[in-house]
Amino acid sequence: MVKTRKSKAGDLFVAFLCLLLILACLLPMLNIAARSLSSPQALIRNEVTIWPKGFNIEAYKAVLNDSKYTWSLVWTAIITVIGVIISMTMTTLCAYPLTYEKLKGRRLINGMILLTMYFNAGTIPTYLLLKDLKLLNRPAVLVIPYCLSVFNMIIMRSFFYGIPESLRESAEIDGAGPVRVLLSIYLPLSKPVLATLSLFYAVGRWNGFSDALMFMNKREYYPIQLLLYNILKSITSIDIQTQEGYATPGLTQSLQAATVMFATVPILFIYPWLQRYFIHGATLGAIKG
Amino acid sequence: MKKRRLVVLSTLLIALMLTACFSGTILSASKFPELDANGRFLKTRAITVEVYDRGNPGGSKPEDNFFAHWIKEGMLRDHNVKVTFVPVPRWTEVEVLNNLLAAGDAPDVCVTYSYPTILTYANMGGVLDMSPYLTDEYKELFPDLWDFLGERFLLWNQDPVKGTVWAIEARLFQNKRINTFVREDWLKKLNLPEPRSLEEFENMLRAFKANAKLLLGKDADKMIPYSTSYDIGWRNEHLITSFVPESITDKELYIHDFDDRRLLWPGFKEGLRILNKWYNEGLIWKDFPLYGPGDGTEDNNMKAGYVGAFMHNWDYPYRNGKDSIQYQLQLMAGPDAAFIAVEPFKNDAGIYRKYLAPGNDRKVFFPATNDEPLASMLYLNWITKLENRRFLQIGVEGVNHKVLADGSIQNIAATGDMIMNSPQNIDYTITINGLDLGDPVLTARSVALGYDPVDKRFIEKAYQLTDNNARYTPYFNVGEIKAEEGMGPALAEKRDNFLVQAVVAKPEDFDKVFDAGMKDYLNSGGQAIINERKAKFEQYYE
Repeated sequence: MVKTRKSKAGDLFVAFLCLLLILACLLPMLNIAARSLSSPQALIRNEVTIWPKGFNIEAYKAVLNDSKYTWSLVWTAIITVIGVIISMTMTTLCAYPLTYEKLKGRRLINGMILLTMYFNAGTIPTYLLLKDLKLLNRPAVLVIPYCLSVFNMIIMRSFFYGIPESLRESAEIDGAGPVRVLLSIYLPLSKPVLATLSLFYAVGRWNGFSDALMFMNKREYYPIQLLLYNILKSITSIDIQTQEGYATPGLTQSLQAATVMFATVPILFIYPWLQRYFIHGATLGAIKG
Repeated sequence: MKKRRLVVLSTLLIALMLTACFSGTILSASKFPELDANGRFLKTRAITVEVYDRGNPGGSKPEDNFFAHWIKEGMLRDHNVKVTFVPVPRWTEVEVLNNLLAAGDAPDVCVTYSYPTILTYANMGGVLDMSPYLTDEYKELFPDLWDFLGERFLLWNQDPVKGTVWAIEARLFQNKRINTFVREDWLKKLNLPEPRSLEEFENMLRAFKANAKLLLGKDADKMIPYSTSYDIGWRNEHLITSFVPESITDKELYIHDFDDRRLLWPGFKEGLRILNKWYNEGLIWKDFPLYGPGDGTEDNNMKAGYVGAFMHNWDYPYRNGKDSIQYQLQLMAGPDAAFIAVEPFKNDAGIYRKYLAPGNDRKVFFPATNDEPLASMLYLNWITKLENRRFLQIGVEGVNHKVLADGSIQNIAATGDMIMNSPQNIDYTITINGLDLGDPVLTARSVALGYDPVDKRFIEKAYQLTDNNARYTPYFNVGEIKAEEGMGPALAEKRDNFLVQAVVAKPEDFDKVFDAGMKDYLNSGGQAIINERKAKFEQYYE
C-alpha cells in the first residue's frame, strides 16, 4: 500500500507527540538519576541536568548501609508478592462464578459489586471497621483490605466472557465440574489477563502508601513508599518548620535523589517480563467488556 | 517531765518538717483520696501519651528509647503512673490524629499545633474540659505547671463565657522570628558599612549588583543582590513592618492579626512597594516565583555564594551544622564568606521595631476517652518540672552534651539509643519549645553553642538583633472566631499568589494588582474575620 503524503505527515506528527510524551516521562527520571550520582557541590551550583557531574556513588552507599531502607525494600517486596497472590486468587474467585448465566441473583450480585466502585465509606469508617476487625497496625492490614479491585475483577470477567462457552460445555460433557473447568480451561487460556492484572496489583501495592499511613503505626512495617513520603514531607513541610522554629536536618540532595531511585526502580524490572502479555491483556479485556 | 515532753514534741515536729522537705509536697489526704501524701497514686494507674515520630535518618523509635524509658521510670517512681507512648507521624500528624480521635482511639495526652482540630472535636464532645483541674483546689498538685506556664498559658484558651479549657498552651521559650542577613565579606570588600537605614540597604544592594564582576568573577551573571521567596510576608518582614506606624494600638494589631504574615496591618502595601521597586531594578532574584515550598534552589544559591542579602528565620543560615548555609558557603566561597545579621529598617519613630508572636507553642489536650485526667495532669506537671525537662533537653553529660568552663552546655550528637530524635527532645517536653536551663545567661550562651561549626559570634548577634526593640503582638482571649474556621489554607494561598503578582508587576501597575488582590482576599473571608475580631474585642475588652 502506498501511503499518501497526508498520512505520512500524520504519522510523523503522532510520532512526534509520542516522543514528547516519552521525554516528559523520561527527563525527570534522568534528572533524579543524575542528581543521585552527582557531587554535593555540583548540586549546590545547580549544574546537574540529565548527566551526573562530579560522579560518585556515595549516596547509594549511604542508602544501602541504612538498614531502614533495605529492610523496607525487602518488606515491600514481601507484601507485594503475597498481596498479588491473594489478590489474583480473590479476583478469579469473584469473576469466574459471575460468568455462569445460570447463577441465581447474578444481576443483583453484579450490581452490588459495581456499587462499591462508585461509593466508599471514607477513611474514618474504614478505620473503625479495621479497628473492630483487629487488623490495625498488623501486617495483614497492608494486604487484606484492598486485595480485591472491582475494576480489575471486571476486566477479568470480561476476558472470561470472551472464552467460547462451547469449550466449557464440552468439558462439562466429559464430566468436569466448575473448579476443574476453571483450572484446566479458563486459567490456561487467560494468561494475558492474569499477567496484566498481576502487574496492576503489584504496581499498586508497590506504589501505595496511604493505607499504611492511616492504618499502620509500626515503623518496621512501613512500605518503602511511605518511608519515602515521610522523608520528602519532612523536607517540604515549611509550615511545620516555621511553627517549630527549626528545620529538620534533611538529607542532602544527592541522598534524596538516591532514595527516590531506590524506591522506584525495582518495580520497573517486572515490566519487561510481563510486557508481552500486557498490551494484549489490557485491551482485550476492555474492548469486550 | 513537762520539759521532756516538750523536747519529744519539738523533735517530732522537726522530724515531721524534715520529711516534708524531703518528700516535696505534703498533700491533704481528704482532698485527693486516690493519692498518698507525696502525690503518688495508691493504685498504679496507666496513661497513654502521644509522641511525634519524625522518622529521622538514624533515629530511634520514639516510644522505645533511652529518654522514653527515663520518663516511664520517673512517672512510675514519683506518681505510680505507667506511661505508654503512642507514636504519631510528625508530617501527617493532623490526619492521623483526626483518625484516632474519630475512632475513640486517641492517646490520653495529645499534642498538636492545630487548635482548629481540637475545636472541631470539642464541639462534638470529643475533648475533655481541663478547667476543673486548673482551679485553685488543684493548684497544689501541679506547682510546676503553674509556675512555668502560669495563668497566661494554662488558661489561654479558656472560653470567656463558659469557662471551658479544651487545651493548654506550651511555651515558646526562645521567642524569635526573623533576621535580615547580608554578606559580611562583601561589605568589607566594597568598603561599605553595615546598613542602618533603608537607603543604606538599597545602596548596598545596588553596589552588590554593580560590582558583580569583582565579587563573583566568572559567575558574575549569577549575582543575586537580594533573595526572597513566594512567601513574601515572612521573607521580607523586617522591611514591610518598618512601615507599620509606631502609634498602632494593641487593638488594631489584634483585629488585623489573623494573617501571621502581617498582610492586614497598616503599612504593608508601602513596604511591598519597595520590594516591587527592587524587583524592577533587577535587585531581586528574578526566578523566585517559580519555586515552591521545600525547594532547595534558593538555599543552593546562598550556599554557592551568589546571594548578597535576604530575610528569613532568625537563625536560618546557621542551622544544621555542617549542612548549614554558612558552613557550605565557606566551603564553596572561601573561609571569609559569611552571612551576618543586620538591623537596617527603622519605623516612623526611628525605632528598629520587631513584631513578635505572643510566645505560645503547641497545644496539649485530653480527648474525651481519657479516663485518667488526674494522672494525665500529673504527667504534664512532671514533664514541666525544671529538673526533668532540663535533663530531657540536654541529656546525659558526656553523651548528649559537654559542660564548658563557664557552665554553658554544648550539645554532642549522640547515636543509637541515646539519640535525641528532635532538638532538645521537644517531642517529649511537650510544654516547652526551646532550651531553658533555668538561668537566662547560661541559656543564651548555650543556644549560641548549638550551631557548631558556625562561629558563635554570628549566632550571638542574630540572637540579640531578632528581638531587639521587640513588641509582642498581644493576645486577647475572646473565644472562638467562627469566621476563621477552616479559612487558613485557602486565604494563605490567595495571599501568596497576589503578593507575588504585585512584586513582579510593573511599577505603574503595582497599585492596581495589589488592590485587586487585597479586595479579593477581603471578599473571600478576610473582611468577615476582621469584623468578627473587632466585634468580639469590643464585647470583651471595651
